[in-house]
Amino acid sequence: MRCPVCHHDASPPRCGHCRRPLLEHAGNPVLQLSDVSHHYGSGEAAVQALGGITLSVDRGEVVLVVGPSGGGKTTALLVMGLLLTPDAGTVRIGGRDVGTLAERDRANLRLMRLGFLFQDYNLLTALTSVENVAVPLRYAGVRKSAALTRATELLDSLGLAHRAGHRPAQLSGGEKQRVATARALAMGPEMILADEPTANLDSATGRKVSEQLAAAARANDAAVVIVTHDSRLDDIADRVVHLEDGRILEAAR
Amino acid sequence: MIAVKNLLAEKTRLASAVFGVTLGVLLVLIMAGIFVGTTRQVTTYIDNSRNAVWVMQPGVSQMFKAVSWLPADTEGELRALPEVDSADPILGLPSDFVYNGTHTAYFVLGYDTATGVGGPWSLAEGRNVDQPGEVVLDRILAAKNKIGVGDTVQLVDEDFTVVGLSNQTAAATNYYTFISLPDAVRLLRAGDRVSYFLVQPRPGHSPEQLAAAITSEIPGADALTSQTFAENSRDIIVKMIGRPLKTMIAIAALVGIALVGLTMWALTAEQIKDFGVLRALGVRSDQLWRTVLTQGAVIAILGYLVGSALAYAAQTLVGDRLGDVSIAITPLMLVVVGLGTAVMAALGSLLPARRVGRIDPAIAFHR
Repeated sequence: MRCPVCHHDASPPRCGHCRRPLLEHAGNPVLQLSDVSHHYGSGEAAVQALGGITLSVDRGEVVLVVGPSGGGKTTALLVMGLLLTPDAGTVRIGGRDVGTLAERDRANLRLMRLGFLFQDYNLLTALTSVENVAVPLRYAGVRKSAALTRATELLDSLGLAHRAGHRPAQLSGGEKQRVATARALAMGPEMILADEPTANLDSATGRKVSEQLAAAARANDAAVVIVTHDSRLDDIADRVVHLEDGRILEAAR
Repeated sequence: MIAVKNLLAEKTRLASAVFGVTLGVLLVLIMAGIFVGTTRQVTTYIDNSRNAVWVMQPGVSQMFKAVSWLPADTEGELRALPEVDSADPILGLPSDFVYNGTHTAYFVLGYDTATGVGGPWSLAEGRNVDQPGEVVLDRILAAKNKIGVGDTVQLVDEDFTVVGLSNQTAAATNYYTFISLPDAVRLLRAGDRVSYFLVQPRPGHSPEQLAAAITSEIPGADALTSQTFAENSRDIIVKMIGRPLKTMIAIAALVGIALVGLTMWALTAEQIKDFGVLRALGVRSDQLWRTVLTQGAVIAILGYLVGSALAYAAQTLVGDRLGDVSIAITPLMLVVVGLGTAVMAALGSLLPARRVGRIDPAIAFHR
């Protein structure tokens, strides 16, 4: 198999060149949610956040999850990102049922197979752009030189090579989100989960960032799930999933 | 990488964190340094007796909490021993120095001004005693009472003229004052008695052999090497001031742990969102533990280095200036405090690391 970071031929458990840990190649679909339910609180005060949703996402696919506030979008994203264990249902990442995994293994799956984008960018303020992008790689044990090379390449591909040495405070909102996109792509994930990535950006910048995210993900054969209120993103998506009151109302291509 | 970069990014935060550890290290080193310095200093008079064997009344094993009386004619018996090269009497008693209404505990010492044995070994000012009615005062005692060479002071119930000021003759709550032996005999109502004899062995005899010979050959007298006599005297002072000082050192260590703990807690609190983001990205709890502990280690090392440097600076600055209080920082003390700082940092980082290890990664999605 090819190492998703340095692109050298490699075999598990680690790439011999850059030291990235390698997992067995996962087939399609990347994500499978089967009849997933979740409640917050208990007894009469319990609030249903997800009411038995079923969803499947393939590699290279861009899926938009839309719907009103309180409809369960963020809960769904947390479940997909292995950050919340649902009350019922099955979650599979790369065909593997993650319901019984220990927290350590869930963290490992997040690092190896998933990438994240946040509304507030969540870049580490003490680090430069290139260092921020290299963070997941370094924690995965990738050699420093290989990590920085990979981070530089990703920033270059997103048109941010000239901002590699700048810290978040010196970047615009769009630049921050593109650095965050590079970070999400750094490990060569199979799926990127984005939570309102354009909410803090003006429409032109939001659109540009989203297009770049979709293009970069497709180029890396990664799926993208974007939770958003921004209907202008519909045309970059392969599919739009409408989530309301914890249920999927419609799924349209 | 993140541990160090996060620290360096906020210089003020880093400085205040290092300051917290520095304060803890400084507290412990200074307290321990005063303890060691003071206990070393209390025996400078014995240490400067040129390795003499001390002869004293049986039952007396230290200088500070016992009074030794020996017949003055013991000197002849001592000189008759084949192992003895010289034997010089000294007569000393603690007393109360009164000057301008101020009372200070001090030690009056009479010595043979012809040989100088038992007299001051270093003068800051003036000269040694060579006439009746003259005194050499400890310079710290003189300074505290604003006394100078040429002034008249009262010792017990007689007036003396200050002719010199001595160095290294002050220790915690004790100051030495030197007068001639005949003056001391009269002043202290000693009659034909002295306190100690300082005896030097003939070549070929060790102080230990000489001490053993005196103890077995001279009835009514014991002998100890100056090293043993100093150790015994130091022990009695350690017993007197050791407990409160050790308690203060322990309190300083606890304050140090608390400072490191609070510092690390505050530092972690400021970075909690970053740690949540890292957890969401897939960084494991144990990796974040390492990050927090690394930050603790960096802060502890910097704080230790700065604290040690400041403690050394304080030691140099204080030097002999205060006279009765000195700071002695030993290599062993630095090693122990270094290890203690590591423990302080580990303990202080434990709760923050535990907190970070338990962060809900979903915090990264909170707006």
